[in-house]
Amino acid sequence: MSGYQFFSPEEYRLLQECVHCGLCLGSCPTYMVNGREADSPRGRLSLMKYLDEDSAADTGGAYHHIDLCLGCLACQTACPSGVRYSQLLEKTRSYQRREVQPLGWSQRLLLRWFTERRRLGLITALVRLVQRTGLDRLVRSLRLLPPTLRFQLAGLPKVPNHAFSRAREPQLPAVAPDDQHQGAVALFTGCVMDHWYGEVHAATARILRWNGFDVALPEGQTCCGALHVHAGLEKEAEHLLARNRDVFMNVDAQALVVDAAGCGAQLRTSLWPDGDGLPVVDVFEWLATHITRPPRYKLTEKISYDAPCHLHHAQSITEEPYRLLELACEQLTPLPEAEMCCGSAGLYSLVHGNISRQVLARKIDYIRFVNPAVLVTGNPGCQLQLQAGLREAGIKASVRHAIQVLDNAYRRDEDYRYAFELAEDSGQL
Amino acid sequence: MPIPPSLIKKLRRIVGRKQVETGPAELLVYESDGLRLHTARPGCVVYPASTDEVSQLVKVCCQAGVPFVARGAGTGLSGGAICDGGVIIQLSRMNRVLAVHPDDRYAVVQPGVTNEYLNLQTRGHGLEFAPDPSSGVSCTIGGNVAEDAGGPHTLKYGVTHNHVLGQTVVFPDGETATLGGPFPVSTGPSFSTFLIGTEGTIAITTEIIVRLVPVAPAVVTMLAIYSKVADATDAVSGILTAGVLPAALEMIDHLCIQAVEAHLKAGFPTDAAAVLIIELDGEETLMKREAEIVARVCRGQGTAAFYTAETDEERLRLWQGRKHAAGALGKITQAFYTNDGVVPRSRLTDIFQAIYRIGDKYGLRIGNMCHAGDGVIHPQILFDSDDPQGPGRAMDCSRDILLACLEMGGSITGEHGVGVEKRGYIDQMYSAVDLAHMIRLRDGFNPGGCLNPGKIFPNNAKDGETGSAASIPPGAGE
Ligand SMILES: Cc1cc2nc3c(=O)[nH]c(=O)nc-3n(C[C@H](O)[C@H](O)[C@H](O)COP(=O)(O)OP(=O)(O)OC[C@H]3O[C@@H](n4cnc5c(N)ncnc54)[C@H](O)[C@@H]3O)c2cc1C
Ligand code: SF4
Ligand code: SF4
Repeated sequence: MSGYQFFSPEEYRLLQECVHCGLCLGSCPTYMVNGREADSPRGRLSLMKYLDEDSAADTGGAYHHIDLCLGCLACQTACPSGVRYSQLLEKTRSYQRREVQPLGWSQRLLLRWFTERRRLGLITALVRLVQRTGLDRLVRSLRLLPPTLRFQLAGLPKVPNHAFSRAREPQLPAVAPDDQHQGAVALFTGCVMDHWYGEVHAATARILRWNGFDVALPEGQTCCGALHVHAGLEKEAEHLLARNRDVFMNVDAQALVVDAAGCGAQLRTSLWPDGDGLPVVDVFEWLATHITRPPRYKLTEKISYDAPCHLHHAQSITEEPYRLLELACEQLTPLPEAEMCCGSAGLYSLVHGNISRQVLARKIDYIRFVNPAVLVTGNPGCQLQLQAGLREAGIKASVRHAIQVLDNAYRRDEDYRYAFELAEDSGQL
Repeated sequence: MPIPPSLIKKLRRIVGRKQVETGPAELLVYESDGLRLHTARPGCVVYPASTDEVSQLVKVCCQAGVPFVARGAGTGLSGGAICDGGVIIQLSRMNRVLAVHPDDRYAVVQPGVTNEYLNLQTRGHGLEFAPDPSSGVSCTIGGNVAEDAGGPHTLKYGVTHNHVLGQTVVFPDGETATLGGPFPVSTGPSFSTFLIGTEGTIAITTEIIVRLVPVAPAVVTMLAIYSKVADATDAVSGILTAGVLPAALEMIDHLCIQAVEAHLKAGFPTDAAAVLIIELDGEETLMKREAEIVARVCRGQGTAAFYTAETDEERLRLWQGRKHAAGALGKITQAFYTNDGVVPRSRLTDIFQAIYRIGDKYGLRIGNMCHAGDGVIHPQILFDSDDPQGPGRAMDCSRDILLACLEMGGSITGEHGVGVEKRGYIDQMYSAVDLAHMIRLRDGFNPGGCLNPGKIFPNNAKDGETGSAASIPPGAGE
């Protein structure tokens, strides 16, 4: 039997790999918070089948539950049959957006503004102004904005003066001794990461250089398109991918290193459809096998790692972050359910604020229980969401990218500071 | 028969508007539990948050004469948590661990708590809830209680009823009772224990006091690999008669190994006819001696290879392979059907011969995993769901296997319960008089028959229309 509306016969067969055992339920954040079968992976797969077979029937009801999926892919890790949930979800969403319910204007607007360099530059300038003048506190306290936005604003990092890729030379040479020179890698700078979390890119670049890599920052690269795919905007995503493809096609390097989990997951599967271009690797994955000069000193603070879904579930990079953090931390304390989503999930936290916050609340409870000084993650969206959640809950822990933690351990080393002209007390965790 | 709008209104008043679902998409997903061969669409689903809400809900359902059923995670495999046209009382929102008392070794939980979550909350105290159904990542303690669930470690630690100290229940008329308690009270038979395993046909459990046991100080997990199934099953008897009581003693045969290794990759050799997973736990020196005995028995029984998991990771991988073997079948088949027959341990070799013979007779592939130490089998009958005859043939095949179990002195269900699935066979196990007594007992508490109708018993007079959609398997009970 094959599908009717949007699944190909092969995809329909993938759908049939779901044997309805329910072993995925316990890992699904939306099911955990509202207990609805329709908001569980098993339920959603049943609904996809239903929509595929008869998409005229009560589409609103069924698509609502597809909308509420975080796309965290915890179900994919949990499923013993290896059901390729992500592929089926993307197919369903793209059909939904194309044929049934176009994406709402506000989401379209957000996607357009946030992922286009120039416009994002404008937004960034505005946020910077608001932050520097202290207006952001006023805005939050005056309750002018809708609550979800106000909440997110609290999680924003202090926006730097320049986008990372603008502030640096395009080529960053290795600073390791000659006999430890390992070649060259390219760094993916992306959109939001580049403008708001440049410090993460800077740390990544330093660590790569310290370990003997030249770091190329090819110009003209753009947003990876992950958010577009999640929203069902296949065409827009393909457009962005094509631009990136052009940029990276002729880059002479060993790998394209990505330090944002969401971008990594997207580029890994989609940048080279034939699988033959510059290999896409996550920064943890790359360092785990290429680190030749581990930090000489370890951080003493209590540190916990919360795994980004797009690293842990989408890319199955589960052990490497722990291995690297162990090189940098004396007190790495496990966080229960560290592999469960924080509720950020790209635009999800803005569009489905209510359920996103409930998912976050579960996480915050565990953080309160473990009480780390620094909470570590590996994706800008998670960083923002977790920071906002901790602020709201009055928990003092700071939120950092794992690479920043590694960089901080390195900074205890005078040679490292000297090589990169860093002040002694720079980069407090 | 649609649910009267007046009832829906009442339900909404009790739990709040948003906690009642009536839309087609929302109801569709409640058509079956883990067993897809029996489907029945409910009329609505409600999500109570407290014992009190459950009590009010059942009261109004009873008054309206509308059937209702409690549901945990819907991982059941006997069609227990379905309710044709009625009200599903979904307990997943009642998912809190209310208290953990490490000193007195018990915990109080709501019924929607999963085994995994409960253990996450208690392991910090070095304690755990011992029943470990393979579905423990998702299934609920309420479901465990209703099915008297067991698991691989049942062999040494017993099933759910050995680990429940008390419960709060709501009877179909809305009355609430607290039965048993954390400490032993010697006043006749335990009413709480009587309710365990009644598959939600007498009362709805809304709070459970569970016993906690210390996490074993040390564990050894071994894998014995066989090129003949009979050698593996003989080794099982050999181990147990040598005086060792493993924490778990499980078997997986060739076909299920193929499924596991297709995606999960537990490290089972794909050319083996069967493997045994043997786990010992307890005090180190004693365990060492036992491990030697196990190794000796397994080797004497023609094992092709035998090894001990060196790291925790390896150990967990073996267990994941075993526990998720059923879920992994999607990689090798479109559909499968399984049962949970039981045979005396001494007949394990015979039942496997019978299973393969029956499979050949129907021209169906059957893979096996089983709680070998307990004699609980899980033959996984693979069939083609596109073939209209497929499901029927699989069910007939399963029936033959269950009848073979009965012939060998076993039973038709070791842990999944009877549900709608096996109600056609129960009269093969019990006499008409036995059944009449059981039904009388149930009807004493569930006089209107509104709570979970159509389950466990065949030709139920109280069944009415509500049980008919979930029809008795073809050829059953002849
Ligand atoms: C892959 C897989 C492996 C499994 N392995 C095992 C195993 O090793 N051992 C084992 O014993 N079982 C096993 N099962 C069967 C099943 O998971 C267990 O019986 C489990 O305890 C059911 O829990 P649930 O919450 O999913 O219950 P559900 O399926 O939701 O319900 C099962 C029955 O219990 C009733 N019920 C549920 N909650 C309540 C309540 N609070 N009060 C009253 N009645 C209630 C329902 O009405 C229904 O009749 C397995 C199932 C799967 C899919
Ligand atoms: S998606 Fe996988 S784990 Fe979930 S019900 Fe289907 S087969 Fe089971
Ligand atoms: S992707 Fe995440 S939210 Fe969506 S069904 Fe899977 S586990 Fe649930």
